[in-house]
Amino acid sequence: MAVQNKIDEAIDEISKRIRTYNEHRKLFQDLFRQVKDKINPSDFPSAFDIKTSDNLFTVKVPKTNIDGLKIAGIDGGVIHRSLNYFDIALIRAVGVLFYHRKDSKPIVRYIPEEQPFPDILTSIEPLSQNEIESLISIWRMQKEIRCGIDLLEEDHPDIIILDGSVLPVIDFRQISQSEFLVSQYKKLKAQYRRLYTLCQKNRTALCGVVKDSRSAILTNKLSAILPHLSKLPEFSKLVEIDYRPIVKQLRDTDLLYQVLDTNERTFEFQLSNFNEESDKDLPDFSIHCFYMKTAEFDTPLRIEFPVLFSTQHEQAQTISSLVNAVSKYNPEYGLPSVIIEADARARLQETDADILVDEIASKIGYTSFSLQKRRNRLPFKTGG
Amino acid sequence: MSKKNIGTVIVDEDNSPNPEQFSFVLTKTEEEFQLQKGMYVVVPTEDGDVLANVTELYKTNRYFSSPSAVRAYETSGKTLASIFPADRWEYIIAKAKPLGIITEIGIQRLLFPVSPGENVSIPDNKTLMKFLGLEKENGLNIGKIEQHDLTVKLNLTRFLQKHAAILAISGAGKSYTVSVLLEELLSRKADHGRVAIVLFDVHGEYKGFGDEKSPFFKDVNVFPGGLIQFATSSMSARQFAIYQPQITTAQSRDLSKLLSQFYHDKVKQGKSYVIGDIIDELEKNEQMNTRSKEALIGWLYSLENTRLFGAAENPDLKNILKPGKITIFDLSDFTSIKLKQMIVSYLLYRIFEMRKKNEVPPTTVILEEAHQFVPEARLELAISKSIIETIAREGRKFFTSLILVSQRPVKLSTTALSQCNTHVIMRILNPYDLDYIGRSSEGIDRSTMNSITSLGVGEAIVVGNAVNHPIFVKVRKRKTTTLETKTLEESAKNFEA
Repeated sequence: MAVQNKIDEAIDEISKRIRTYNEHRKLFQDLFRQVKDKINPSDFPSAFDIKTSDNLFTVKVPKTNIDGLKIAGIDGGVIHRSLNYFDIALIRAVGVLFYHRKDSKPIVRYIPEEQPFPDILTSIEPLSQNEIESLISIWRMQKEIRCGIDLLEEDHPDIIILDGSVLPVIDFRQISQSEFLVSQYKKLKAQYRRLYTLCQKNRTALCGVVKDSRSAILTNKLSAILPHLSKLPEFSKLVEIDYRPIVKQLRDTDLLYQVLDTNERTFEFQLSNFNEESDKDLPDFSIHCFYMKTAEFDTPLRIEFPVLFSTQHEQAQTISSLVNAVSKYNPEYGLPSVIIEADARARLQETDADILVDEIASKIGYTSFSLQKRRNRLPFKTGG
Repeated sequence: MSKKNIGTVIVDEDNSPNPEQFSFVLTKTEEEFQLQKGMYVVVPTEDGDVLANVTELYKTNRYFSSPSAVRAYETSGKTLASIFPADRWEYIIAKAKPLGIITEIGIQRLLFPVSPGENVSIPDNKTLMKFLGLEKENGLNIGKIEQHDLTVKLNLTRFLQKHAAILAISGAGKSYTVSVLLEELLSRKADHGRVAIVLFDVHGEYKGFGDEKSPFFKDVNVFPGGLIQFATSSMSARQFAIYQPQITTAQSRDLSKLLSQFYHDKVKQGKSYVIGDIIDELEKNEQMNTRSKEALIGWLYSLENTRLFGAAENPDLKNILKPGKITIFDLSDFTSIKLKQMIVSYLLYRIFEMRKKNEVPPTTVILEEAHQFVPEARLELAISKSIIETIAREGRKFFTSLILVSQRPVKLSTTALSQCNTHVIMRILNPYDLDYIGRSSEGIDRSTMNSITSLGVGEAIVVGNAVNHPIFVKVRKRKTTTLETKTLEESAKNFEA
């Protein structure tokens, strides 16, 4: 009975905390929504390092007609098997180009083809689990960016939308110990640089769409700035609650889901530079981002873009209007149509990898079972 | 076997492939190849090619698999197909039922599943013909398996020796199919084996065969029902009792004695007699019980009143039953079912007797509205039932075959229908008839049964002895002209004109 009482007490306590947090969060979101039009991000003190060309916190996305435009999307698929002696990955990337026409369904082109056979990549390097995962990410990105370069060389899309970040997001600390990994990463960066340059040359807009961003970059900055906004009367209520832990726990998309209206974006702001210390001799690209709500009942998309031509504001306007135009069909799912199609084409099945492992095992005289790591071949079912 | 690959076997959610079923995805576009329900396909195995029948077809498309997503996207005012390349995600999945495996020692039952990933192809017509048990030459060409453009030629012996039934609702094409069969039987050459044909035409639908314009004019003898006469002297007391079931056993015995005496006194002397002679003789007979005698005389009078009993048989069956010829007994002028049954009974009895003695060629008897002549009802209500059931049971040994044609199978004698080893089933809607067919047709499965209600006019399922597996046939066009069908309006206007 004593144990049961303790569990009940714990549950009550957790429920109470969640309820209070939700109430405070709701209050914060409502207040922020009321003042969003009164905040000018350009006025933020430079100490907060918010580099933006927009002077409103939220910006209406301009409407655009996509008839006659070529909109491309790229996504990749990976299946990875970690076996006793080596790692094996099946990777493919598919580029989809929709040529939109008035009163007609789009003409569709696939790069390299509709259902390309995946690349089979193996590594027998003595790498740690984290290193292997980084390597596979690098390989997938290489494949996706190659696809983008091919798209640009073979066609002239108006915009290329990447699934995920527009940057080669790799934790350098994870790979720095392996020369092989560093060389692969450098190769990837070179490919990105080529993609940016080609887009610049063709005047093709380029962006990455992050669908389930866990970033809190904006809320963190807001957390720091909020005390400076206390002159706004609506914020005086915030003083009554302890808003700091609320803001600290909020991800950007959590906050913005309530704050942004459909067809609205946040101000754009600089995320980083493309170049790292080691690239200082090479031409650099400024990478910016904004959040945009494309569907009423879906969380906002985080959209990243390199500033390649015209101003960052103009590019943000162009990219937001194009991405919004191809994402706003479904009020419950606001992802660009080209990314949905590319995802479906690039997705790989677990069974594809199983077949491959079985084939390899039969060729080398092992059973596929003995090739698998012990943790993947428990003799009894786990759970229940 | 030359093959045209059209698909690949897949693993489906219904635990297939298994020996009873497998699924495959069509790998050709609809422009390249149009797969249809009912088509035959082959899948290779180590033991031989498995031949299967496509029983189900459906399309799948990931973009339209979630109703809520379709609705949500289309609230934008655009169709899903105009937002996404949805047509490129459309796949045709087919379910197929293995019928057997073609091995070196012949066609065997499939006891193992085909393998996922195997190619599915369309068999060539030669293989299909052999597998289904169809004839290449000299068979009865009743039409085509449309999906394969394969002519269906049924083997004469397999189709007729163990009798056949043609079953369908009114207007589904029974008489048309019978006409096609007649054309085939009449077109046979002597060295292919020909039978004599007898057709009982209840509605006068087949008179056209006897027209001068008919290509079969010379081989057709249309005999009006009014001219038919039974040879009284050839009939036994038992036969009289069949026509007049009220005749008791004792009366039958007395009548038999009298007919025996007539045989000695008249028939052996080359003379004939009629019912009137029997009645005269009975009236003179003082040994018989008076009440019994009077009753018997009464029964015989009523038989005489039918005007069917004469001194000699007309037509002379021995003369008209010839190989490759047809005799159509036109019974359309008779309104009394009893009279029609008496005629059918007498003629079939005589034909079967003569056939047993090999006095006439192997004969095929086609009986329209068969449920009127061989009903499941009691014997006394169907004079012809006994002889039809006898031929159904024993005719095979003497090459006397029946083709029973009916729109009410449920009312047909179970004995007679179960002896018909081949069924040509056309459109049937009545659930009792369908159920009855399901129980009486060998080799018909649930899926084939379900197709019967959706058959179009002129489409038939052939099941039973004539084929190795049930087949769907589009009955071919007939060569002879059909009777003009008039609308109700036209008939009404003609009547008033």
